[in-house]
Amino acid sequence: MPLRNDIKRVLVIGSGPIVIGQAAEFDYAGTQACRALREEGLEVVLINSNPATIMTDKAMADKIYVEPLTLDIVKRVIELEKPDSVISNLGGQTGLTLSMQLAKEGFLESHGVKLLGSLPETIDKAEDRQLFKDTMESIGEPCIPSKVVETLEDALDYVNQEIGYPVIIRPAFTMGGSGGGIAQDEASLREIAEAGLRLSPITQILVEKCISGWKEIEFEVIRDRKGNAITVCSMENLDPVGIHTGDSIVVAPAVTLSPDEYGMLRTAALNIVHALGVEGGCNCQFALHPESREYAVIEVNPRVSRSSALASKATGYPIAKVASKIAIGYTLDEIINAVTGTTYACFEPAIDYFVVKFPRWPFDKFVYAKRTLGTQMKATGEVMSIGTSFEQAMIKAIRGAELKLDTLNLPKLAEKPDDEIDSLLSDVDDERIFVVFEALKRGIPIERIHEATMIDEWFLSKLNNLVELERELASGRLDEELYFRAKNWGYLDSTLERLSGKKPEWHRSAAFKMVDTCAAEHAAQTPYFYSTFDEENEAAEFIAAQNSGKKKVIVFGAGPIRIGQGIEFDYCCVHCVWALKEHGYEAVIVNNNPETVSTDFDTGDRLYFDPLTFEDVQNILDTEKPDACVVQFGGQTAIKLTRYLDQIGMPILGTSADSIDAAEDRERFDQVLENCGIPRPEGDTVFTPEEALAVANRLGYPVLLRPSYVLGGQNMIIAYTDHDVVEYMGIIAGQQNNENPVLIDKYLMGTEVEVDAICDGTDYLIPGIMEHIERAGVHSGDSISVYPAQNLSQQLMARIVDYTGRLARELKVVGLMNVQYVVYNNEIYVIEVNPRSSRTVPYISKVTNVPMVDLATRVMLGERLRDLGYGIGLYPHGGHVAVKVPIFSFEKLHDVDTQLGPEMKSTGEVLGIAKTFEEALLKGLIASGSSLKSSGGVLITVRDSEKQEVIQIAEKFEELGFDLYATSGTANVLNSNMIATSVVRKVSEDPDNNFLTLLDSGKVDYVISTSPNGRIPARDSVKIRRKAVERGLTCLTSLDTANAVAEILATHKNAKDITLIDITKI
Amino acid sequence: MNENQTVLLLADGTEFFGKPMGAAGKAVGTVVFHTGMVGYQENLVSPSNSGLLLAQTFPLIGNYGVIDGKSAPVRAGGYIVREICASPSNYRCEGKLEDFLRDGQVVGICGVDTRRLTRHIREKGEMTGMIFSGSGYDREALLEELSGWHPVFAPEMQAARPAEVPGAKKTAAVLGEFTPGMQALFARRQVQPACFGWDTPAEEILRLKPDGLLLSDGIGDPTAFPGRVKQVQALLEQELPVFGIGLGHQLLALAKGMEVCRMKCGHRGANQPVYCPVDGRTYITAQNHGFVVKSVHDGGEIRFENANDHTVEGLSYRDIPAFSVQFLPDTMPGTQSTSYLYDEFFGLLGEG
Repeated sequence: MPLRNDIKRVLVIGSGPIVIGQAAEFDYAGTQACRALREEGLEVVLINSNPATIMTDKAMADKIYVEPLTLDIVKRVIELEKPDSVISNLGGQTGLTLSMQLAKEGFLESHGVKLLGSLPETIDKAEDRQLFKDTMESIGEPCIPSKVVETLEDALDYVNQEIGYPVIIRPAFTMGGSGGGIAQDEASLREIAEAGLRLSPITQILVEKCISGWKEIEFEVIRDRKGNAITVCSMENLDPVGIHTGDSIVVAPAVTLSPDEYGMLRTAALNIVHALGVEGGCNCQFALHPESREYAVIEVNPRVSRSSALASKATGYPIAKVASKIAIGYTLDEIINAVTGTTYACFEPAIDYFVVKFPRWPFDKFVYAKRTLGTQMKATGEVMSIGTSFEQAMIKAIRGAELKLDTLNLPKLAEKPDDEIDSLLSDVDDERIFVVFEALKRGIPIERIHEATMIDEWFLSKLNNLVELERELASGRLDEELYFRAKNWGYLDSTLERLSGKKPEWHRSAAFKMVDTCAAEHAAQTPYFYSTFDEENEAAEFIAAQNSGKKKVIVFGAGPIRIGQGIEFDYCCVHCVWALKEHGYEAVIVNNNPETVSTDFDTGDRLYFDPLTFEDVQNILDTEKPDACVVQFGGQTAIKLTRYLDQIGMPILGTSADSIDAAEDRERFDQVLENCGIPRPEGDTVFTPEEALAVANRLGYPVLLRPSYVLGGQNMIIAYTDHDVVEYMGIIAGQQNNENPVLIDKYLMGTEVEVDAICDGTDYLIPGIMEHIERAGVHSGDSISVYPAQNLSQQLMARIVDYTGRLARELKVVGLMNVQYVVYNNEIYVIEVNPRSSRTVPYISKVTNVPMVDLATRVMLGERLRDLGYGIGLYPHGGHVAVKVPIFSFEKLHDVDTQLGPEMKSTGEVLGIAKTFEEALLKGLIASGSSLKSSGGVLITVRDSEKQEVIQIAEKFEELGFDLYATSGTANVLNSNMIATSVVRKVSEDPDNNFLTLLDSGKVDYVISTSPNGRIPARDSVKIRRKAVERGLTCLTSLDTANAVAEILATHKNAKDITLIDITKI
Repeated sequence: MNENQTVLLLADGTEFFGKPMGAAGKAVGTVVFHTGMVGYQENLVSPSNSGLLLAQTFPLIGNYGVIDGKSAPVRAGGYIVREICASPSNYRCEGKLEDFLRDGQVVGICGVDTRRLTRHIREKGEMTGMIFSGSGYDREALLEELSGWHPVFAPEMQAARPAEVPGAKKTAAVLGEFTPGMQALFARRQVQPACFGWDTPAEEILRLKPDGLLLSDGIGDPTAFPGRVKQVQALLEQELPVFGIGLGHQLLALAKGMEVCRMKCGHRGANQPVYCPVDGRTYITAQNHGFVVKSVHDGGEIRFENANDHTVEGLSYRDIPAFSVQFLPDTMPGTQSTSYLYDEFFGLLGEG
């Protein structure tokens, strides 16, 4: 069955902002889907609120709505665009849930829209706990003893009387397992079950017998409407059942299964997709008893997922593309395998290497977050590595994760006594793999480690190989045999030198092997490679065979997604590659993130899936011998390669290494500013607490403190008192050696303004000036950002444009530059200059229609900006206002303080685009998930310095008819200013009637909370904010945001009033 | 080459140096690669791999050790892997694969870049090779030896002794390989298998008055034994229902006057897609063969074809109640893709 002839116009629903559990993998899948559909001549209508994606790029769809992903708005898009079909299974959980709601309400039918991909029956059978269980029972597939309940009482009865503890709670219809957890006793059951019921949109949870410790095995399956079904890939979690697969170290293929067990689970996976009637991709998760054939189906996701992205990258099999073709009528035997170009998609990939996926957690940013891992995913991103041995893939994954580690030795564990290491084995957290490694080093027997962790002995033996290798190295013997063994196990020369204490006498550059879906059985055309240490170099052969005669440019990617370095950089890298290709160059990508578009093998001319360290990069340079490199689009990951590339004489396109250094080095940067005649906030460099106090008092509080080595706002604070300075210097002393100074700046509480510019060394083009709603002090990534700036005078705008030009020329920027200014008392100060791409590039490109990365790439290749047709200076405003609203994943991260500050906390963003500022903000807020309830209660508790300022905000809420509550200090100020406010007690004052019980009561809809101190979970202010997150309330931690919300509420407009905008028409 | 090394020498002179594994010594055979990621033990004991120098494309072999190692002896002539797992893990693991190889007298080599080997064979075709370990490696002399070597198939393997199927109403004669999975399928359908070697005279088989005939898989080049083809022809005269699998499929085709030829590169793996024009479905099948039915005349109809290279994967015959497949249909309980072929065969017995 080829393409259905009743499909002409398809609506694709995206997955929305990046949050923990639903991240960049859906940009990858969505982009593949859109391309696959357009390839077939179909018109694609897209809705996705996430502006940072490739998917929402104008080239990806015929109509693009960057609008809130709410049911009503999707309905309006359908009414407006009249698609004949909608695809359900490519937009993550968000897309699946929305499609299902549309279908169930009869909306699709009444509008003559067909549902493609997974059908509502399929979705229900997979997602509704009881239906799922019934379906599994009907085909004889075992499930874990469990019961679906809708009340806490039923949950307690079932566990106490039937299955006993421990139990796992899984809320229905939440993504990434939000709100789930393992309860060991009644108290924790009460807590988790209550939260789960609240988070489930249908107030339903599954209470199930805990099978922690069983093997966790996944199969990615694809089925078509004819009933052809294949398993693309098996995967085994190193971490047994109990840790969310998104937080587990995962290997592909499954390694500890005999053919009997493998066949049993493969068959089960195929039975399941047939029973569910899946048409497209499906992820099946199993728990397998480690010592019997007993197994249970844990979960089935009838859609593309993070695991399917991983399976795609692990095998080369493009699951999302194939799923899209199936959705529009093709069957597997009609779809060509793009990897070989000669065989069909109806086969099961055979792989001849190991794949390891390693999660990247945000605990470096959230130092007080609970690091415990369980059924709630906490990782923001991941890396994948490919190797010819497990050891090699593991070591590559560790160094690729950018944890400042190149082995499994975690320095802080070295000091701990053996018994502590032994007891740490039982802690299930992000550092367990390092504890296991340390335990092996201490000679703790594998049996003991297995007993404590239930990690299969296979993995432990493999890790022990690394322990033994490192022991041999430490003995100082570094002969040829050991050197090559270590290279084959993934070690860098620099690591070997450190571990053995001597410089290796040999150097072996890597050879590259191809990822081809078929273990070399067929000749393949995929330009997808990974490094190893064999003699045959398939990449070199490939390059020689192609012999394109074109100049070659390598683009370095951004590695794993983490807070502060998100999908935006992938957007930029992909655009750079496209621009290079378009302008006659061969573009080569190096990256190790399996979730992204950049690591799709047909994005660049060649893809190297390897870590982004100097040595790894050197190996690639040895084989590729490129003409130049690009570092400015891959975030800090790529930027930090600059100095090295410069040293070895590798030409870097665009801004030079020296200029990048001048922007990063404080002293040099001060000189730059002086040369430009631009002021920056006064500041100094200190080493000791005493110096810090002296400088802070000289500058006057508040002051901004940060370590000199740090980027992206990490470990930055605003100090209001001497006490803050002392505490901070104490924390820093514990984290770094004293050679690295601390920078103190006067903190100017002004308006923050951000500018992205394209520069060619002489001219510059500023697509737009953005203004932040929150004053300086909130990290730019966490601020609501407005384009164009709303409150700047023409004169100030002109000065900002002028300053930007001066900086661009002084720093000799060629390519992109991002500048952050603060406007304070009508004076403009520079906070930071980054001569590279920034997180605002994608959305500004889309809103202004200036293809920023394309232009930047062209000037880097030598073209002059003034010849490119977009003019120079400030680009004229096109008439639309865009408001970028940050998205946080606080509900996934326990104990993290939600108060915004100089350290970035958001994981993603949404955009509101409209003709007016108010409407754009309204859209942005709705898209961010805020309920924007127009009545109810507001709890206010702010720090002393803001008590006066909060009066007018409180007044606005009062005028709107809200009931006001406040803690005593804030209430005093409000009441004495004639704003009626109820006083709320602290927990210590009244355990039964306090701010926490108030939040539980449902009387409060908004919380405005700021405090001089935060972070530490035991503080009352942090407890309030956490409670608000847990109750799903809108929690505003900046008065500016609170004020903006109040003003939007005062317009009495809501989602019904917004005008839909197709951004391809802007 | 030093004493601790082992070499895989191909007839075209290509060398792969590695380390010894399993038994020491010398093994000569046709070098083939297998792309399955699990199932190494099954490969080693499979009669159709008898005498072959078998390379695994998955880089680490032996992960779950050896399970039920006494059930069947090793038949592969030599074994080639990248890495052999020193610490296998599985609750049913009885021992290490390396010990199993040593006990089975299989000469092996590890440390080989099996992907390079696979690419080489893919391009040049399956060829004779030698695994050599120990001292006195003389490349030229060994190449000379290889050039004069021709595959000699192991003598007829002993016929299996299937268990009694209680309450069996039908009997099927089985020639060639008979696996435990087949036994289970026969038992479920209450058909008594009677197993014979390929060289058993037709009269002896027919004396049992079987209701049907399963020509199963077996060793090597089907054209090398014209006597077997004649024997199949004799059996066909009885117009019994016939089901051919693997080698049996090829012998059936030869018996019906079709041509069978050697493939440049065999199908050996668990992921071969096979298209069935009858129901329009594509099935993922396990295969292990280096010969293929080349020309199909009017008497036969293509029932399955390989979705990748379009080679013949299954035939049904117009003039006799016979059908056959080149792939190995699933025999594991619960698999629903191609085990229906057995049911079809058993169904034919009832009609007979």
